Amino acid sequence: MEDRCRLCGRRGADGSEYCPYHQRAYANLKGAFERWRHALDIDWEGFLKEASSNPETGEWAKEVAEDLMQRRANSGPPS
Amino acid sequence: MTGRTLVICEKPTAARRIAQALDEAGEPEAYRERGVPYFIALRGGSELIVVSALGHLFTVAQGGSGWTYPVFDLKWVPAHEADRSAARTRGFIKVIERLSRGVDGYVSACDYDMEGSLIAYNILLHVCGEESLRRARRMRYSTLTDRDLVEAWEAMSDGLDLPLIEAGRARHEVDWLFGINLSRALTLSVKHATGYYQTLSIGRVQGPALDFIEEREVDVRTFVPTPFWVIDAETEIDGKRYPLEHGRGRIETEREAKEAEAACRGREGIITSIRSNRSSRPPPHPFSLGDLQREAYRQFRYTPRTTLRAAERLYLDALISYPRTSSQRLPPSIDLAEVLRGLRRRRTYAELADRLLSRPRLRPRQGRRDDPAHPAIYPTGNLPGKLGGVNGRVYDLICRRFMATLGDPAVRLNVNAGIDVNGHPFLLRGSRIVEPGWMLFYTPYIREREVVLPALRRGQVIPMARLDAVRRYTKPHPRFNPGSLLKLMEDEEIGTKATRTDTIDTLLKRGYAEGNPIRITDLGFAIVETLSRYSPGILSVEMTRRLERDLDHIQTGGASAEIVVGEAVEALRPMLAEFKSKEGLIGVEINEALREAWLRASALGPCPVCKTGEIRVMRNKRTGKRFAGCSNYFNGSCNVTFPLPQRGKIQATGKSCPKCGAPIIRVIRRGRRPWTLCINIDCPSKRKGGKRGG
Repeated sequence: MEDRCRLCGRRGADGSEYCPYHQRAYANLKGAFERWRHALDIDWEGFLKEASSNPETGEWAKEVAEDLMQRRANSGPPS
Repeated sequence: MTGRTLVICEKPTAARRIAQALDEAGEPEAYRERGVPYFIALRGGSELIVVSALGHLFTVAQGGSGWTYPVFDLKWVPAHEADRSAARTRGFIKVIERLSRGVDGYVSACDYDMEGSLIAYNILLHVCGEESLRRARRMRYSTLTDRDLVEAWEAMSDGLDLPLIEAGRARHEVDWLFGINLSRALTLSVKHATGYYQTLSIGRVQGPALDFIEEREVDVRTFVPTPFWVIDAETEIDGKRYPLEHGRGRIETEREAKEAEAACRGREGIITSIRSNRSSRPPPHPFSLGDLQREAYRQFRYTPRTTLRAAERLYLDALISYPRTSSQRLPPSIDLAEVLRGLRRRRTYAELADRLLSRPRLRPRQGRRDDPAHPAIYPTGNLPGKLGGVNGRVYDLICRRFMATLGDPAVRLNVNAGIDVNGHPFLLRGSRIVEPGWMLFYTPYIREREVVLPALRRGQVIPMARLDAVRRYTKPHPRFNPGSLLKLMEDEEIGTKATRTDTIDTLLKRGYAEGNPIRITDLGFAIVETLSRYSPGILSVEMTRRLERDLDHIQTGGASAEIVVGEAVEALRPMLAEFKSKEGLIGVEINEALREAWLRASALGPCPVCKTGEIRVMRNKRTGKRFAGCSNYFNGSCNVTFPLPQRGKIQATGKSCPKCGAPIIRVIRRGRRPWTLCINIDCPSKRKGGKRGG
């Protein structure tokens, strides 16, 4: 059985729990975190909280941020 | 020319105008047969039978039979044989056939472009007979004014414009080959995999256009903003406040922003420098169709389709030149003074036109793009009757833009004062228009921001009336609107000025995209996902652009239609073979996406009774009527139902009624305001005197 995205049920990206869209949102979150950390001296959890409540954050990026928060990914993102 | 000549026009309105212009008395005899109007005009001792088409009377159809793919065998047939909605064209063919008997010559007087040339060619070939092609001549005009039409008649070419006809024929055939094969491939993949029939379609230009929308949607949905800070400051001079900009603009870190804020708060500023300069802004170039459509969207929020319709109406009324043009240039052959003299007869434009007419020389600002067939859009100078609504606004935009192109550059005086606040540089910017130039002519459509500064001097101390470090966030690229999508298609060279509007409309009509700004739908996502996985060539901008260029080369005589159509077939062959080999997989995937899209579209909100199910739009199998019911009905745990309006599109709002908890829906019906209501007819909010849900 092929892997499905844990958030939307679409076909998963290679080796990921997410589909290519949510995987891209996840990559964007990781990229943005570096900039947020530089700007605000914020940790990963705080960043996810901020990102998920920011009106400019795209809906897929919000879904990934909320998913990561729910999984208590405070030590960083899963592979 | 003596004897009888058949003059073929593109539309009935154009036929009437052409007949009137060519008839020496200006009063051609008007006839009507089978609901088809035609005119007899007399000119130079000849009888001119001026007939009209109804757009294309002939179209491309499948050569053989069978609803399958690949299909490369095509033929041209009367439009009414291929499309039931084109039934009216049958009468036009019959009437033209009768009128063409015994004529001595033929004239193609359709709009001078690929489509117009092809319309007349097909009528001559299929209705009047192949022999007529050798005796046919071509009228070329850009406006339907009497003067231009008579000039076009006098300067008619000896033969037909064959390169344009070939280009038009090739474009129709290539588009048909792509459209029919790709649409059948999609539809049959679902049918063969699941047994369900669902019409799906995609075309040569639709594919890349849908891909643009999808890419932008993904950008927006995956966007993560980045914070930055600006120092939001104001000074007050002579009781008036002026904004100050911090020299660094965006500040990347909160620490630096707070430091700057702390250093400047409560301090005064000292003016360290004052610089002023004059900047000049050249007039705009005249409108191409794309420019006009974008400007009308920007000014009035008119869709490209609405603007095109209005422009075509104005053209048929001989008020503006031919609108389907890519040109941004007005050639010297246009008598600009004559146009202005015409415009000055309208009170609204009289003063502006007089200003321009008083100049020794009229020279329009020219744009970069040119079109060999037509100039940029300009008013003819004919006096319109009462023009209102969309047509009136589009006409005004065209007239004012035309006059603006003849204006002088606008000159702005900029004053920049450098200010030091405790070692932090700030800038106080002032700017005002000192010579309006062309802006005077384009006044209602240009909104210039002006900040007029008081007299300033170096060393002057100014107070900081307000100063805050404000956190802001980067924003994603905006979703496309019809105007910006049109611009991108133009820049990427896909489609033509005549077809881009239709392509956008088709994507919306097929349900692949919706709304304004344009958002891709789940179905659109499914189509792009599947095609990019199994047949990425269909979405390829490069392939479409290459084909466009080849098609353009036919127009200039640089390529033959046969070769370009042959190349299209060769490009399609491997694409379709690959599609066929994976048909099962593709069908299952698209069907799954369709089902998900349907489930999403039918979900209205949580069930107010069982609290675990979802209220969905359902249909009564016996009557076909729609209603809303709980998804738990199927496992027998909840049987709540609500009646629904039977007409219009039903949308979920994501809200529940504060009185009864039932979903609040929106009903959208053409030509009416959206109707928002609670679906529970027994909702307390609907009792007399109660506050309505939603």
